[in-house]
Amino acid sequence: MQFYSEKTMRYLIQCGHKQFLPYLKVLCTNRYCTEVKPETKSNPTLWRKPWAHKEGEWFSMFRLFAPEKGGSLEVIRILQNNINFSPQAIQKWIKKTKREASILDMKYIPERHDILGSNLAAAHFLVHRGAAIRFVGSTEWIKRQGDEYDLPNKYNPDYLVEAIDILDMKLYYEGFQNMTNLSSLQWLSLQNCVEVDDWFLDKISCEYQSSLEYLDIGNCVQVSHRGISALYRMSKLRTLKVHNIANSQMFQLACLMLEDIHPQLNIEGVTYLDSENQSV
Amino acid sequence: MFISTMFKAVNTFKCRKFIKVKFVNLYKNACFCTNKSEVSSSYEPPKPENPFKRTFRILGNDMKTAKNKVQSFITKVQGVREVTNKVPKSPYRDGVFPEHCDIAIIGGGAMGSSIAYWLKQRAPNAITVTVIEKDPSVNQNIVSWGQYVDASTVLSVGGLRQQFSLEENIRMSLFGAEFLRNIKQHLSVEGHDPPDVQFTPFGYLCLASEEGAQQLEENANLQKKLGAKNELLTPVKLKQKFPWINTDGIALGCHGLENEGWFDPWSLLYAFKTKALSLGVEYVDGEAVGFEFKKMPDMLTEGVEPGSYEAVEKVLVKTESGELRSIKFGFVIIAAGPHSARVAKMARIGTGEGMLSIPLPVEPRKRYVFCINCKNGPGLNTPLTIDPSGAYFRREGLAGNYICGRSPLPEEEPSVDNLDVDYDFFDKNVWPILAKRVPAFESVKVKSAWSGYYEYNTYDENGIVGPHPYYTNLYIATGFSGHVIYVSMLQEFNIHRLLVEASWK
Repeated sequence: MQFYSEKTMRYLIQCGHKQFLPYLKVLCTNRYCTEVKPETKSNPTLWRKPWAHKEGEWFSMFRLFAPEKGGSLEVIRILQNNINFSPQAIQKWIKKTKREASILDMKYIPERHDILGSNLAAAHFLVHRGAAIRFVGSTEWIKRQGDEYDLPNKYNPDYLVEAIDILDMKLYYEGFQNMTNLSSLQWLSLQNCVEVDDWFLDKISCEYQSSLEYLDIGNCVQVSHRGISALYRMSKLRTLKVHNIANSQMFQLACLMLEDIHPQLNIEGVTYLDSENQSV
Repeated sequence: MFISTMFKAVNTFKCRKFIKVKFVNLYKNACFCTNKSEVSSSYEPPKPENPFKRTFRILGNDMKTAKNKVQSFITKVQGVREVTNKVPKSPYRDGVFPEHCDIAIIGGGAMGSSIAYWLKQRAPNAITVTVIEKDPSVNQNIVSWGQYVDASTVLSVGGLRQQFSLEENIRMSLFGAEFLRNIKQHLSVEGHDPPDVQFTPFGYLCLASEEGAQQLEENANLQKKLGAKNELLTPVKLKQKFPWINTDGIALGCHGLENEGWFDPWSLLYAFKTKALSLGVEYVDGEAVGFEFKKMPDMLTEGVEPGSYEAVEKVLVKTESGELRSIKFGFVIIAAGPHSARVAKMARIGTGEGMLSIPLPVEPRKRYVFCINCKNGPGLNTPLTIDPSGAYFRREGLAGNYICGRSPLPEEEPSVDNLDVDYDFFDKNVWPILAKRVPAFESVKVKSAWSGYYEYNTYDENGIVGPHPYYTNLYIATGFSGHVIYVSMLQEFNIHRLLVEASWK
């Protein structure tokens, strides 16, 4: 038998493992870890190896089959957790899973954008999930009828999204990545979407800062005055509707200040205190 | 006959002596090895409790708590309102000081608490974590976070320009932003309000003069590549967007567009701590004053002479009541912020030989933050603006208050003995620059000021995370010079390495 070095033998065995591993691998739900690309992961410990790996040290052949790292932490955690079967816990779990499923549903799919281009991709993404789209140059809203809707299947540069109306779709922050690069978006209505909070406004003011003229965030109760002040970047904004959001003094002040910087902006839905009641 | 009994007597006597000698030595070695290896502090380690006394004490405690339970049950049944607790409530989880734990974390600020949280998150029932924090009420580190960066896509303050030209830092901050956005999912505890860090989304505007423009542009491109959004602005555009600015001497500005802003670090720390507590982390109010070592002559490590290895085994803690206790740990993590170097010295990092001769290059540096009020200052569109000289300011609230500061030049470093504020610093160093950059700041009033310690890494002004080369069970997570938010991300790698490499091998 040819004598391979330990490294090559280990490599061969691991190659064999890798063939089977994708089929055996448990789905990793490690959400917290960002991916570290292999080229950026530096290997500073090359000069230091475990004692047994050093040149000249004896090792037995059994070590080739030993795993380099220990068992998965996820498995241990799942095994050690007591499963809670109480009704509240089950309800919570159901809610959590539903939420995670919808966020996964909103994930950014690069192929969609490759094939369709940003505008049509956003249109497909939104209409499929229940929102309505209007393109530049047309007056009719494209909505989903049952399961069908009428949108081109391939890239067509003539279709530019001009207006989006989130009717009863639950839009999550993660879904915004599907709506990038909409350079002609003028009209956006996120009314009744309860997930909208300050982070959303931050994202909106970044993505559509140069084109958005109308923004409706009525009934989005999680928005605070900080989110409103984040809209300072939107230089073209003309109308901002903020019905039914908590009307604290800070909120009104933020709205006033926003109107100060953007003179063409008109904010609807805020009731300013009259001067007698003001306590400044 | 006589001789045989004599012989027997002698033998048994010898046996007993032999056993006694062996047993006592074992006992001594098991408790603390201070006869040969020294404890690296001026404190005498506490004598180990007599096992019999300990047993009776614990049994006694158990009896008391049992009695208490029965009594309170009886009074509840009888409907009596008053229940007097005979046993005083102990600040510790099980009623006793935690004498041992799997992982000890020295330092309970944002760094330490977040490490504890992530550790327990990964393995809630598998490990015990103890956090040793010397100042639980006021955390001095927090004070310097008035300019907290949340996913800063632009360069950080003053002389730390290189900070976010590093890919790791940019990724860290992006992860930090996502963590904060989902903080309700991560750090909610049942029975408490969900944590609210009051994130104010706001950009960072980093200005560069001619010399720095090239670097600024490169950094901006790197950030764009990694997914952070920013825009480069020429002086003309700057003036258009921010009419209050005076663009003399500015060649380029980089305005961060997304995932930037500031928030309340107190609530973040509190959220981390509450969540960690709910997951089972033990917080000890005390100061780490030394380590105890254990000789391990059969340990072979690269770079260490065989037979000379000494591991850290216990940490000496001086509790609030002045008592000296020791905690035995499996791993220790030094996350003590500006005081990390001092703690590391207790572990002989810096005073030993070979690998231990290099000290931890983290120093406390004092920084001032001033809160000023300007009646006609810049309005809502004021991002956190960083001048090429290093002075910065941002809007605070909506009533014309601003927070400003500046990193002092190396020759002007203030002394770190205390946290007194030097108002002259504002008059001489901060205000002239601000007034030049923003003409409206000619007339300002200083409302208040505070100072805090940065954990300044003198080597390259970035964080130090990872295991120490000499010790197999000592980890370091410090040196972030004010960007401690990224602990959220860091600890992921830290712990992953720790647990996967070490414990679960």
